Amino acid sequence: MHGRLKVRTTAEQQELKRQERTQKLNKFQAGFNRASQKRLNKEYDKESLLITGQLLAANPDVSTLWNYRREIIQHLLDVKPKEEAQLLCSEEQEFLEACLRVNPKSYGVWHHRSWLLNKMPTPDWKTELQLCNKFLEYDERNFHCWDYRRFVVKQSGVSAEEELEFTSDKISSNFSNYSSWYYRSKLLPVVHPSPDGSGRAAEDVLLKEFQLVQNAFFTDPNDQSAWFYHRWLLGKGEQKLEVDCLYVSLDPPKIIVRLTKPVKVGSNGVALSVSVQGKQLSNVHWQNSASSSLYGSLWECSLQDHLVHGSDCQDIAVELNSSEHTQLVTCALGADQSEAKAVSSSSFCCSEMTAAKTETLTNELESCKQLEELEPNNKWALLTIVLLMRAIDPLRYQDDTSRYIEKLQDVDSVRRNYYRDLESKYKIENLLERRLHYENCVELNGIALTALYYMEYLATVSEIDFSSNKLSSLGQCCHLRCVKCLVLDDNVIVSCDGLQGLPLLEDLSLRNNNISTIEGLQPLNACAQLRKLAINGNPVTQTHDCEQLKLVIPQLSYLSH
Amino acid sequence: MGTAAKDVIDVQQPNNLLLDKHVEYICAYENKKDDYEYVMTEYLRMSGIYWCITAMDLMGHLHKMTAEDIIKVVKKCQHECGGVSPSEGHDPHLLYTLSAVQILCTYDALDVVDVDGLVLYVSALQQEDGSFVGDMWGEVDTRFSFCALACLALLHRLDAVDVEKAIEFVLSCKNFDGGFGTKPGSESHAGQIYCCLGVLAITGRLHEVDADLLGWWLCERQLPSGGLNGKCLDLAFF
Repeated sequence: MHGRLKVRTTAEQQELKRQERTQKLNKFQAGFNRASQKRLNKEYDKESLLITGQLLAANPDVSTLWNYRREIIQHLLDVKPKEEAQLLCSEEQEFLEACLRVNPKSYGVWHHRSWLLNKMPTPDWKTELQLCNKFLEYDERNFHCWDYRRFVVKQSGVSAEEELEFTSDKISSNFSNYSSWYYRSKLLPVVHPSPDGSGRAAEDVLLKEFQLVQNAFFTDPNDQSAWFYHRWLLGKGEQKLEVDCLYVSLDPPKIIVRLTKPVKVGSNGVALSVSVQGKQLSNVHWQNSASSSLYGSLWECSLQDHLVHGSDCQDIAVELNSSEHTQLVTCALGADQSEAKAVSSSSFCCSEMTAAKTETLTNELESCKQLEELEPNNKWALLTIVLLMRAIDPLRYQDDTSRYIEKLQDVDSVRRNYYRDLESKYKIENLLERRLHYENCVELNGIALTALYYMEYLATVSEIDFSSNKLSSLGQCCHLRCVKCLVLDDNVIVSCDGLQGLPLLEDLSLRNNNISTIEGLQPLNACAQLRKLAINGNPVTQTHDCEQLKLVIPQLSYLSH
Repeated sequence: MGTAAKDVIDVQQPNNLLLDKHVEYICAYENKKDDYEYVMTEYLRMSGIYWCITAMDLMGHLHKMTAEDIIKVVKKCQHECGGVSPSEGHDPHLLYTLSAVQILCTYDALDVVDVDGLVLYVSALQQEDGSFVGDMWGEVDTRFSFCALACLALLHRLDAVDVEKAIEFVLSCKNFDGGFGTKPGSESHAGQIYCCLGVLAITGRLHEVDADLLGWWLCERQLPSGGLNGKCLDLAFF
């Protein structure tokens, strides 16, 4: 019948496709084999360029073909006069642009282009920049293009100011532009460096940035880019290396030094030297609490044979020597004292500590709260409010912070476990803000802790209570170097891994947890001083009796089962 | 006004992980040597083999792959310079050198290749700034830092490179969001982050990462569909 379309059936369509693909495949194989043969024969001619060109236009990820193409071009550049060489390169540029139109994200194409530009007798960097701009119009998140743009900028000496202008244009045409904001974070401190040499951007410039980014998130409160950039603007403060605490004990005779940052003590690292009664000790062997790592913030050494019982006051001095910082800390162990400590007067630096001024932070908090009124369920606003409150005054905003984090768990429930861990971290930070970790006894029970943070700061505490929380792992407990009595009842602990080697642990309570295997208790075998253990309410008590358990931990004198 | 989130929503997806089907699919690859996709991915074959055998191993079905054939293929792909190519007839590259070493470690068959040659090839690719190029053609990328260090760690030959410089380069690629990019100044991307964290894990320097900040950036990769994107505002891909 005339005028009726012939419609192919699915089976026919599939067969056609299969034939097409087989044809493509054979063509490719033939071409690849021919190219390989020519390469073996060291043929670097027009035909080679043609074949590799056809193959690469369809398959730009076959780097071996780019390699051969480079050999061809290099040969031709070597033998041709300058004008012809330049022409060859221009043609190659056109070829590459055609490849990019089909495959703008191929590593092979972009790399070949940068190789080419480095080989060209007279490269035109302006054209390259324009190429980048064109491709960023097609896709402003193409990181290959951004990387290539940075290469062009570097080679051609485009100034950071000009690039900053470029990001401003991009952002004003479309706020949702993570790549532009990101690039801005690199350029700003270069173009407007802060006079304090901190590596941040100058304060007045940052204030303008806050304005800019606020416009962005008020325009589109769901655009992540602006919020991530905002967090950067707040500026994480740099933690300075310092001795935070020097602790000395007589029984056993040892020193514990806590630093504000993890370092390596010893060769190629930081030096910690000890003097007792003014005499420097040689052969001091420092060990860090995270024994599996060379780096740590908590370091310990034995003072066996150097401290005397029943003596008059003994003076201990520790000197920290690093490229960053030198500091001398002293501590006096009184005649009838068994331990002493010297602690830093600096206040604890919480994780959201920023370099921004309080006035700026308060303004930002106001703005975010306004946004919250307009969009009460916007998780970005809620989270930023939390970060700002922590940065301004963690203890003053304690209750508010808890309220907001609870709301976040509801509004952004996919990430609720992140928020729970964040809350746990803040609660422990609050304890440290109050300097409660310098007491002998610390209680953090019934506050829904899901993870342990800053355990190095509890290194000198002898009695710790973490009961009635949601702890599942004790890995961080390796830093509790002075704990004698540890209560972990009513958690969801599965294994005692983390407790092994705790030198002073005598009394451990693990009632009502989730330890279901003997392996879960095995680490306690390495707690030499452990005498009392309570494990009632753990599944392992259903399958193993007292005798079996005592075999694993023979040093116990009392087991509550 | 407002950013449309890119995401995939499929209302007909299965609720269980169909492991048997995955096993079948991977096994079938060994017999599809004339298949279009098989031939067209020749340029990454060594990595393809590694992904397949690792998946099979994780599922407890490694014995279904023909170890001898695979080991033969790997051996054939080591070139005189010591490096390994993705397939016969292709040039060697750091990416496939790592895949080869990973495959041979899985089968405990490192003795079939010239290990010293491998070490020489890899160590020669380190640049003055500590970075690694992928091959003699000079592309720098933190992926290659990971390939080099992972390779040498598996061969117990980290002494062959300047590890401190390698770490220095990787750290110079750290960004404001806690993540890492391909080169200094490049935007954070989950693939690069994996590679950089790999380098820092191998060299015991994970404390240099702002774990909480990066952890947050990474958990923000999860989209409502449950899938993960590779960077901010992208489509789910991982």
